[in-house]
Amino acid sequence: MAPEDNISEELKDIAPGFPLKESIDPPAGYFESFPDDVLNRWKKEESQPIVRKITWKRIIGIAAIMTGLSIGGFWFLSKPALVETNDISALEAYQYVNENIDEFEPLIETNDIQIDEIQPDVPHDAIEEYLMEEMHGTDPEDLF
Amino acid sequence: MTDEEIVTLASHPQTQEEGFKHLVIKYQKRLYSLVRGRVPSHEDADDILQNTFIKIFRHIKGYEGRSELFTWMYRIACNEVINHQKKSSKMKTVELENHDVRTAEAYLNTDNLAASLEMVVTGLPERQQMVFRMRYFDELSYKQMAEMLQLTEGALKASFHHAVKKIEEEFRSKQII
Repeated sequence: MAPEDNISEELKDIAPGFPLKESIDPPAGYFESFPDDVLNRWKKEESQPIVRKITWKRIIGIAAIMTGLSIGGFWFLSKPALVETNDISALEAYQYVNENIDEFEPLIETNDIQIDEIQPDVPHDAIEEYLMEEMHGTDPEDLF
Repeated sequence: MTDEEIVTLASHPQTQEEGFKHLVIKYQKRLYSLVRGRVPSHEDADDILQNTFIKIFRHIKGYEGRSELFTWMYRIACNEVINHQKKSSKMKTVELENHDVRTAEAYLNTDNLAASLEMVVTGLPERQQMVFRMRYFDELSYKQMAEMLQLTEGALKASFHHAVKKIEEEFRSKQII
């Protein structure tokens, strides 16, 4: 120890009446047996397997982490399914609808459609004339 | 035996026991004094000191020599004292809740010089308090303190000087010295 590190000398210089630290001595013979005591304890502990103490705090912590992971995993796995539906081609969609047409029936308009509703502005005579032309002069009455 | 030689012995499986023994013999008195000053009984100090050395044995391979060996061990001992105090404060709380009806004053013996000193030291500014404790109670050198606290030796000497002067003044006003 360097002279300037001597606490007693330093205290005498700063404050001559300052009380010096009282040393508290251990029971007699303590330091003689202590090295062997601590080494024996160390050997004993090293030879024993480490058993981790499981506390309630640890159990709750693990449960919280597992719950978080489950929610995260569920969210993560459910997200790609939505993305996949966007990747279905028009052909696949058409095939699916065709194969499962029964499921779509409620959505399809099944009422009879009147021709007047589709072409309300075309006169009846014009339609007849068009049909005559298409049949190259054949009288429609001859067809029946 | 030098610290380097001890660490070398303690780091090799064939010689580690011998190294540990030299380490304990060299530092047990100093560490005991440090620990004993912080706990009320010899039994507590013994328990803490054993835990401190067991920890030192387990981690000696990780000691890189960047700080003095004693400084490194001092930190381990201080941590062990803190752990012990935490455990005992929990136990004391339970005891007080269940049985004890005495007031805090009953635990203080103001006639005792050590208790008076502790009360005055607690009233010092944080840095002076820390420096005083490390120098007066733990007898660390200014070099060791500077390494731990990342302060200059001059600044530490000044802090210690101010702390001692304040304590002396307080003691004189209360006619303790």
